Amino acid sequence: MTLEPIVFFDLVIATVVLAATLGVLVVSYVKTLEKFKILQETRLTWQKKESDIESEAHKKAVLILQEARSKATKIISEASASQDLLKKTFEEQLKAASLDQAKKLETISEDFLKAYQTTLADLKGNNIKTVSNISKDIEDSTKSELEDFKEILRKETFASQKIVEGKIEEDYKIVEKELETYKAERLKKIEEEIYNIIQNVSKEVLGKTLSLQEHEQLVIDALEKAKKEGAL
Amino acid sequence: MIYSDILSNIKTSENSRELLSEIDLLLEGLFKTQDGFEAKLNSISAINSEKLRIAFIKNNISSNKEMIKEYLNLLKVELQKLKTLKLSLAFDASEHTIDNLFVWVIQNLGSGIILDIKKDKTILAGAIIEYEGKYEDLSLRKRLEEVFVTKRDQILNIHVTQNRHSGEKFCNAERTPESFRLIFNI
Repeated sequence: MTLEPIVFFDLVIATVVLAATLGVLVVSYVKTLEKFKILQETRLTWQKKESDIESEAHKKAVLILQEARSKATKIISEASASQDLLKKTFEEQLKAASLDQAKKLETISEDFLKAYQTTLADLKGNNIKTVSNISKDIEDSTKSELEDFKEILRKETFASQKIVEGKIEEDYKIVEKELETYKAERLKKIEEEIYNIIQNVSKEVLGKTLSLQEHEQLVIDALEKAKKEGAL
Repeated sequence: MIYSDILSNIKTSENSRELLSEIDLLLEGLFKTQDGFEAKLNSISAINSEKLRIAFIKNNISSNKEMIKEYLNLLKVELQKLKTLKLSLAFDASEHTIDNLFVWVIQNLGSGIILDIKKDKTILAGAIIEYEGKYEDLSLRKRLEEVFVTKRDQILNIHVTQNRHSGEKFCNAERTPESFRLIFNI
């Protein structure tokens, strides 16, 4: 087998081009790897820095908290001590004031008792005199009023007797008049009843004793009378 | 046309009402069939039937239904024209009484008047008469009432004297202030 020269040159040219391309690619890859390595190193450096900063901040925070806690403990202990002192002082002052007031009250009570006893003694003396006088006044007044009452009662009794007598006379006249009226009414009513009875009996008797011919004749008579009077 | 034969037989308002309803019955059956009219004529009261037959013959209208119709309608009008004399009597009026009263009416007041009679026992006897808007109470009850009113004192003087004396005796017994005090407890 033999190759044509043109084909052989073409193959050579193609192989050269491919080799050149491969070489470019290899160079490019190596450069990229170097860049990646640099970036990797930079990242590790930053991570280390970040970790250092974080640990340092943590340490500072712990220190601040410890300091604050110690200060708070100190303040609380100081406040407790002040409260105890204040309470003690107050109790002492209250005790002193109570004792003072008790003494004063005792003094005032004694004064009042003395004054009350004095006033009571005075009133007792005065009341005995007053009651004695009132009893006498009441006795005199009662005697006088009793006399007046007897007199009024005598007069009232006399007047009442007159009034009652007058009233009896008046009632008597009224009743007498009513009786007269009642008597007249009753007599009038009796008269009416008798009149009605007589009238009814007359009607019954006259109506039933007529014969048919007499009835007919009375009707004819009525017609004659009506004609004569112009009703027909 | 002649109606007098039929109208002379109508004495009361009851007779008139009866004949009017019979005429309506005849008019209703007049144009149905010949037998139908005959049947209706036979179904009404015998006396009215007979009077009508005679009237049809006298007026020469027996075979003419239109003429019969006209006659019956005019008869109704004549019946409605009759005047009414109302009488209230104390007894049941018999046929004889009605005849007598009707004769009196014809003789004294003329024809064309019928009687409307009703019974009212309370009038006792006589009659209450109503005619053409006029009213006349000529009953025995009315007469008696008038007598009892006009002679009231006379009647009472006879019957009450004894009662009056006994009443006065009762009323005058023991009426003094002392007796009142005791009675009314004052």
